[in-house]
Amino acid sequence: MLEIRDLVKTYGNGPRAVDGLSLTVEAGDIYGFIGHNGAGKTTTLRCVSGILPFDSGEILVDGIDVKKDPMAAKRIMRYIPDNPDLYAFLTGTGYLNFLCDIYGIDEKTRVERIKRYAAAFEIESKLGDLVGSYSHGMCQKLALIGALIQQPKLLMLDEPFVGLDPKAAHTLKGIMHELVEAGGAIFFSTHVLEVAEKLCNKIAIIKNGKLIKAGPMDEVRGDSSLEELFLELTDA
Amino acid sequence: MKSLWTLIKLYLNSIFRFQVMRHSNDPKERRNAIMGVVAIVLIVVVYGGMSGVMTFELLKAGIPASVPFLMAAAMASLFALAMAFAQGSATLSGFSDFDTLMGMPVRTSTIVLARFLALYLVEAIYVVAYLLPCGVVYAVLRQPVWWFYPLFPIMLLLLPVGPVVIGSGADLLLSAAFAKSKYKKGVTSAIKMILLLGFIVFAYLMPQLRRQFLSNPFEMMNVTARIYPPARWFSDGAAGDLRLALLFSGASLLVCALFVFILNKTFLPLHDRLAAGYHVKNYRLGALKRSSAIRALFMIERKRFFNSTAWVINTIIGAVLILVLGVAGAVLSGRLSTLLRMPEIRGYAPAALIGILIFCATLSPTTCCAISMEGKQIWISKTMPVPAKKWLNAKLCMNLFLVLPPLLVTCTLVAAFYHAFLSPVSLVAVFLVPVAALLFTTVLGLFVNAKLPRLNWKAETEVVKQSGAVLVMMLVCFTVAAATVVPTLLFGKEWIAPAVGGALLCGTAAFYAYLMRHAEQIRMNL
Repeated sequence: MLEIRDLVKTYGNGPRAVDGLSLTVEAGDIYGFIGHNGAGKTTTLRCVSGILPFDSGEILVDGIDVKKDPMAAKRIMRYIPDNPDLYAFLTGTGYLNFLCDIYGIDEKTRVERIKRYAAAFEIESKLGDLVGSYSHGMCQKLALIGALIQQPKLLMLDEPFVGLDPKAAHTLKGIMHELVEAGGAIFFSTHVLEVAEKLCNKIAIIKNGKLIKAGPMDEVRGDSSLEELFLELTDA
Repeated sequence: MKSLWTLIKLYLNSIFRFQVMRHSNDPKERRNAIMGVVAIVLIVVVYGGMSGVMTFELLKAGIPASVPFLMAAAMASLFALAMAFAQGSATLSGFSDFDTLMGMPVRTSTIVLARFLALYLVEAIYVVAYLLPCGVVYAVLRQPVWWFYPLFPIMLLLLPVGPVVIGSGADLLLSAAFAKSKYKKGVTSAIKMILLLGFIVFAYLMPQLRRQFLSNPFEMMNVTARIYPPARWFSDGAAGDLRLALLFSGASLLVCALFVFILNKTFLPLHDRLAAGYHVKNYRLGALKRSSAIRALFMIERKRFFNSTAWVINTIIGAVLILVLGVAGAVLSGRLSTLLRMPEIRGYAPAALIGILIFCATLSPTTCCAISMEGKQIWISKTMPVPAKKWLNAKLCMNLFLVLPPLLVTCTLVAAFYHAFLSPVSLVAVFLVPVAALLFTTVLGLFVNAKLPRLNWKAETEVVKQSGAVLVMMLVCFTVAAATVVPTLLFGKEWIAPAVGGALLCGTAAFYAYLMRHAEQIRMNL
């Protein structure tokens, strides 16, 4: 579903933020991406989603090259940043309806999906309010609904559990499983290693822009806990 | 005092981006910050030069010194009032550091004073730039009394205080009154527009005032002084009346102290009220309408525009003025036709008409900050499966949607009521040249913003009023209007205006082609 080959990204004249990173996310994967602050997780996600240009390498989403055909790639993937700034001047419904127009979702389907996910995240009654009045958690929920109504093949999330209440976090985990069971894939960054350990079937660890370990969770972790492995690898 | 200075430095840094200039690793960001300051310097030089030349001409002609001082003080005060009214609430209550600052051991009064001074200092730059050359010319030509030299700089610094207090106070009250309305931005923008236009109409179109102005321009000075007495105190004080100079200085300081005192007492409840959002009770999702991607993008641009009071005030005045001029021109066509029949005026009429239309149509295109206004929400546009061409076209359409209809109405009114003064070539030019200038500045505005984007802002006024792209376009738009009118007036050839119109259309096509060819790259590099 997602193939990253030798990705290199540099900001200005600085050091390489991502340095020759390669990994593969397959359909059905919930792929965790962990690393210390500034390791290059967000930069990688932003390069894949088409937000950032990259210096070299290749990124394929379901076989589509994001550099050569970005529109086709964007049609089947969605990305949500860690602190999603949404259009504060729209109501929740207005924002979701805008996204449905952009993704060409018909009237009946959009209402069904918005109702379903808004009920799941318990913000249906708030959709008439302006986004500017939402709390961080509510913005996070609205951004998630905006991504889910498109039913993307590849969903990329940057720190998705930050700001979510425990019930919403539980709901999101359930929806993530649903999405991969339907043939999709999820690639997400997190600092919550317990969540990654329980939720992901695959994991990648990045340090100073370089991938230092990646693969199925059980293989990568071995006999130790993910936390022990992470500390061992990143402190080395 | 130390915290006050630290906060003022923080706010000024946020506006002028000194830290970005010195420390940013991104050369593009550094260039943008430098361009912003360069544009401010250019505007300051142009404004200062204009007022200096005006003062020199009037004093050379033997006019009393209080006249140029009053004219300049009235202009500068009106400018500061309009700016403070447009951005007062955003600057005094709009910074996103409220929680951080209130959690620190800093007095509320310090925070209030720092925000007021940040707003005041920005206005003071323009006011001082406009008035200082008047003072220098006056000092050189008239050798004033000794106390002029220490007192004039103080009076100069105090001149913006009154307008900033009145403008920002009115803006705060208006914002607080409509804080809980769903359409608070739209309503406050509309009221601000009406008040500003009402002020202009009151000052210049009231029959009695107009008669006085036409019969005796000096009487207009008295009228201006009656509308805003401190301008008179300032001008007479600067021209040698020590009593009025002290009255002006004392009154300004008193007003400033009173405003900061009241703001300090009401700051927390005011902030609470302004932060209150609009909430719907028992909301239920109904049917949703579907539209095309380009229409959805245009609707977003429209909503973003009308929800930014600063952007609306900064931009829409040109469109409204066009319509006001068109209607006023039609209503007063009889009297103005008599004026235009005068032999010394008749030859210049078409160029003057076209020049006024161009000036209003290109006053401030929405496109010169349309990309910057995306701010941190740019990730939404960048991840959309929509070609960047459509995204840019939606921004171009917004400016045309705003200005083209009133422009065409006014061009038609001008053609209908003043056709007797227009040759067939001039008649074509009345439509062609303003529309060409509008298209050119619309496309060029987007091009300049693409080259000088500013996405990392906290208050929208940083983009709308102070960003490099906006300031560069202010100069460009002024140049376009001058480049069309001045050659026609100088050489008196009626083909010059259509030729300039043709050149503007060619320029439009070239910049549009560039934008469309590099659209994806432009969006990706943001």
